[in-house]
Amino acid sequence: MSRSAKIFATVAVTGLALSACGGNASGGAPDSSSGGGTLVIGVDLPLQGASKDASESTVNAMQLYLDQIGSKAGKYKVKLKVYDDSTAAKGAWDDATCAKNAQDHVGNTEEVAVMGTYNSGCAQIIAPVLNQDPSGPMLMVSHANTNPGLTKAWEPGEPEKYFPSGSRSYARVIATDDYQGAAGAQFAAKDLGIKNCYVLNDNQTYGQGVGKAFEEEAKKQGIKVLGNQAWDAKQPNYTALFTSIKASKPECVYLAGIFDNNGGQLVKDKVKVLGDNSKVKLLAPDGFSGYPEFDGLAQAQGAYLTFAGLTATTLREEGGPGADLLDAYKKKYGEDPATSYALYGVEALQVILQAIEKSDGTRKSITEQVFSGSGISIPADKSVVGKKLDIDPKTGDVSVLDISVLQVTDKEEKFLKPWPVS
Amino acid sequence: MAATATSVAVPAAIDRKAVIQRYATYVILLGLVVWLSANLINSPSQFFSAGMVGLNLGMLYALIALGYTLVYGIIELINFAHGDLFMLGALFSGFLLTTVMGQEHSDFLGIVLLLVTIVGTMLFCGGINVTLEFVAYRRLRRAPKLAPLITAVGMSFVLQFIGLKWNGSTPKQWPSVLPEGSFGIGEFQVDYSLLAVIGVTVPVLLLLRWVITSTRQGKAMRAVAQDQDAARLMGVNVNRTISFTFLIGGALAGTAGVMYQQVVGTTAYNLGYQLGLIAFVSAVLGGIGNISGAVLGGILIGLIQGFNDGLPYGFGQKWSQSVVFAILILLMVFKPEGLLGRPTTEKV
Repeated sequence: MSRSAKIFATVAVTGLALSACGGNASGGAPDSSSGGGTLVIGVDLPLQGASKDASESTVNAMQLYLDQIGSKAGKYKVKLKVYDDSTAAKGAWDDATCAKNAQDHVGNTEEVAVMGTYNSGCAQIIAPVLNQDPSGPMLMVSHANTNPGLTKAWEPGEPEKYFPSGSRSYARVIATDDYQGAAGAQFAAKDLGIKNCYVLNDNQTYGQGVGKAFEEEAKKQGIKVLGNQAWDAKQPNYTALFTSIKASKPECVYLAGIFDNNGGQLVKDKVKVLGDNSKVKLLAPDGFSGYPEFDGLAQAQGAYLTFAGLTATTLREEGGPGADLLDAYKKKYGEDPATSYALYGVEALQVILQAIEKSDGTRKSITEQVFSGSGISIPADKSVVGKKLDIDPKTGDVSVLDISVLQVTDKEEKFLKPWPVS
Repeated sequence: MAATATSVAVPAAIDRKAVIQRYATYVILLGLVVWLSANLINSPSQFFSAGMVGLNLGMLYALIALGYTLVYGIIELINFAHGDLFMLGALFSGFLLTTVMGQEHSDFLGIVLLLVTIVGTMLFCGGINVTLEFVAYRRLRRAPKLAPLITAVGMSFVLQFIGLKWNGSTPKQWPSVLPEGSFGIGEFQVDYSLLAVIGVTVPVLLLLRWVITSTRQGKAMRAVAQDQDAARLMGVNVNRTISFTFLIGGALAGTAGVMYQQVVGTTAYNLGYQLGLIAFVSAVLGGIGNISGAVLGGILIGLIQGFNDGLPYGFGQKWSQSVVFAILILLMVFKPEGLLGRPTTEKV
């Protein structure tokens, strides 16, 4: 080795050692000498595949909001770091990628909390890892996970298995599927007078959960559930599937799943085989809401949707911070967000920012702000969903349990009525 | 004596194997007949409806499978990018017919513009396929077989990415210019779209057969398929012949794309992977390299899916792929060369 190479190697190794010493082993405790320092919020979403557009608009809305408030939370400067939990090959969220992301969140010492995930199945993998973080537990706040088991008893072992440390670290700003599925079934029985219904689910955690909730409530409401089976998102069409369903003569079909999972084809074939939506009613949860492709379909006209919150259209009509943000979004990106969940992404960010503001900047302290005392509360005049929002410190569930019933009419989702949550 | 014993023992072993195979085949066929009969008796109208759906689907699979089998037949390349080329064809046809020409309804003009779209999409996909061959596959023609195979997988991702940028991640819905509705034969209905698919697939198949069996270029293709070096010595331009094969294969993917976009009406960036895989299975089922086999394989798989998904005693849609692949594996065990394929021996 030449003399210059030795000097270069020595400098490089010394530099690496110094940078390692300068790392933050306390899980996000910032440099106090600067009076705050910079903290990172991880954003974990599927950026490839069917949910790509929805995820990108959520990230854009969050970044826009952060820019508007000067990227500050109290004395701390805040920035976002975006993680992709999907793979190109799968075209959707992926178990192994979610598991890897969980390790990366914990491993990134500047990161103090995670906003996400979009899919409940991915959250079920990430939440327990963040919960066991030695410098945490690390806070996770989702804008879109509606599977009940993440915060309350649903399947055996839930929700305790997501919190191995014994204390909670997962919260969400959206109502759960048990409310939404139940609301759909109650609406079908009471308002539409449905006596029997066929349930199709997209075979994912969300679809199965909301389908199960609909089925259980439907039975309580006196609706005969003729079947609950999965649709394969990769099928070119569903004519044969509906041919077999037709024999059971359903009065309604409930599509428990996400429109991205070939929902457009499903709706077209439903109408082709069973008739239009005035003849055999079509109901779906929020997985079908906020998609212009769905709303514009001739075969979707007349379909009823439930949404676990308020849609972007309703929020814009109501005015306030949500409408202002939507207007700013349209001005900057030239279009509305691809999904109503984008604003709920900002709402989740608001929860994390307030937790940071009240904390000492460490992961443990940030999580404690959400799960101790009176928890986090966003006043109505600041909340982008237009209502005062509280996070229950015992469960991590949100106090605002809006369920909206919408109907697709004239290629738009029109607000039909709010559905009381019970 | 030893020689005699050997000559007696070998045929006996072969006979035993053949007998087992024959009886196993009979058992499988009997099971199939019992299953179909039970469904037919239970609900004849549902049986024929599911059959029609399956036939419609099968014709589309057959169109895609033709391109697979043609390229494999000539240069023994499993062109994994073919499914994604079909996807781009479907996207391009929607873009050309609906966005550029603005045709959204079924009328005489719509049918004329559809024919223009078919030709345009055939040229578009044929051009892409020839470019792919020139850029990615030609230099690997004499490389170990794994190299072009992996390259084809890579090209598949490239085309899929283009589709993602073009279509967006959410499946896109398109209007159709084909007449809607159906007509009745007895108790069951036949969709007009099925007639349209048959009306395109059958002439394309006949044209392809004529090109391969009766034209100078077809003879050159068969010569190249048999032995590239010998064909070159006989004055055949091998590069041009292979490019022509890719042109035809791409045009077939384009045709399939147009029909899919018109009949099904939904495009997605990942459409090609799934349908390409099914079409590849169709080609293998029918005997890869055999044109009639590809059509037969496609129709059979479409029918199997239709019956499985739509009959009262079926496994249901979530088992669709499992049923198709189980049948393929069974066939491969008993007839590895496919239904219409011919057994070949490795050249030494």
